[in-house]
Amino acid sequence: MQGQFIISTCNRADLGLTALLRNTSRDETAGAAGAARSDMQVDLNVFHAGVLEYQCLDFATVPADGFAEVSARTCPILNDSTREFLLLARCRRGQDDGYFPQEHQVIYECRQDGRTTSLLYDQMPVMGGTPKTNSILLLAPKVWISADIDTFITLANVGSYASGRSAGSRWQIDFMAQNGERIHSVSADLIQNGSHVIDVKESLAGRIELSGESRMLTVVARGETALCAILTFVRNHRTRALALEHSLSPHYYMNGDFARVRKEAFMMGGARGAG
Amino acid sequence: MPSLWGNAKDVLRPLKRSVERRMPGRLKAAAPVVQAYLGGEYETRYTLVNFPSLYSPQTPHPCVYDVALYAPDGQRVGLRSLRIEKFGSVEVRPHELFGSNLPALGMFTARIRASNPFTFAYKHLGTVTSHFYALYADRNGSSLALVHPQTLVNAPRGENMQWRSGYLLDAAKIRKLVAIQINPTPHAADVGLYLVREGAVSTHLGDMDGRIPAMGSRKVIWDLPTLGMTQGLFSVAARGLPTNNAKPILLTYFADGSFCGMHA
Repeated sequence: MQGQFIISTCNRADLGLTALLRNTSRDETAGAAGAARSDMQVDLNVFHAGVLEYQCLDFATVPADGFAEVSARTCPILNDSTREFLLLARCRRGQDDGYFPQEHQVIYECRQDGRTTSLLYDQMPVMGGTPKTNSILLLAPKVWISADIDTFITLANVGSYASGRSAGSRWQIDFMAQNGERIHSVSADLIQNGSHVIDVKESLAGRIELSGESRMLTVVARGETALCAILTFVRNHRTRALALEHSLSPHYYMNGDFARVRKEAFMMGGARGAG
Repeated sequence: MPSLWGNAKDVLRPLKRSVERRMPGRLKAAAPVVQAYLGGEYETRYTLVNFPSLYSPQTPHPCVYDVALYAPDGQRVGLRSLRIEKFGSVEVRPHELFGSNLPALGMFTARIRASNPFTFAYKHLGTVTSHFYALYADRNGSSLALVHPQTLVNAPRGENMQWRSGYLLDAAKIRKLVAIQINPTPHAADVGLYLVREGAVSTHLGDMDGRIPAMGSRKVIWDLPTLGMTQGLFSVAARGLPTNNAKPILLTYFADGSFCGMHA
């Protein structure tokens, strides 16, 4: 059984990354518990802007209930804090190619002050062959900005698993006020197998007046991807507070016609305003 | 007769579905989504979003969230309805909505509905589940925790579950661990939380058993040095959860008094 854990650096916010790849069991049925007792093999691939820059096909063997650390200590390319990287940890138990659910832990530490924040999220299925891209719709009603606070959104956009592939995909990113008005909209070409960081405050520079009072916004992003892991970081530069959460796909919020939603969501883009 | 009835059903079912597709209908909403509320030394904000309009931007409508706050003993503190414009969102600050005399701990619930009960616009969404996040902070803003909800009111019960968090927490860095549990069911729940030291032989310590009233909540605090935990990795585990995904929220406090937080 296998799965892949998608991780993004967030060097733009001066955060160092450590990931703890776990080999536990989430399902407490007897069969799953048995499966969890086997070792988990990990290979690690690190991409920048679509190019495979680091690969270790036998990065770790993780015993049941154990973990493997991915950090600058074990993956030296993470010492490079000048670029963003997408890390793809492929995890395998046994020979079966089916998917197994597994949560892993990420820890981000501010290089300046040592403050940390941490998160658990799931690995995703491994895509065979040339992966099919599909549209994705991100709703992030968890963006705050003020004179002191900024929000960073990382999009780790997975395309073909093969190295050297750097095709892009067009994304539209809208910044929505609480009254539903679109404050700003940007288009971005997100390279497959690359990690992209949206600095909300910088994106809205000159378009929104900032004060000491924080302002909550929603970021809506649409694009094409094979798989994407999206994290949101909220940071107070004055107090050094740092928070982190992952996004949830539309499946958590509806169970109807996803194809229609994906199609219609893209119709909001272009010239149609929100007013 | 059975075959005649069967044939009639074969004809009537597609006809019924076809009529239903053409008729306006209420936005079908799942049970209220719940999340912990922290008052007192903390501030809590919730972010409600009109996501059906963003999923159907060709036919957007305002929506309404019915929100409520419950005290730790399960008593309802307040109930409000919030209208959200198309493509809009609302940042809920509970003291602005429910008054300043709020408990130090509790549970927030939110359930979305259409502002117009009869509309064609959102039938294709199927059943929708309310969408929000919670942001917790201390009073001087030196700590933040952003957490998505994990369970609904009346989700399947989990009192027989044996659960262990996948988080590996570092006792060398953490001085105090706070766990918040909510019980979004109409029944009191007997639950237990404890810590598990990682290692060749896992050790189990810091048992915190308790009963959470229906729609109630509780806060559990471990002072790690008092437990002799000043180094090594550990995790949180539970004997029973109020619902099968009502895992606690964890706040990990560091030496400087700040915390970070996460869903476990």
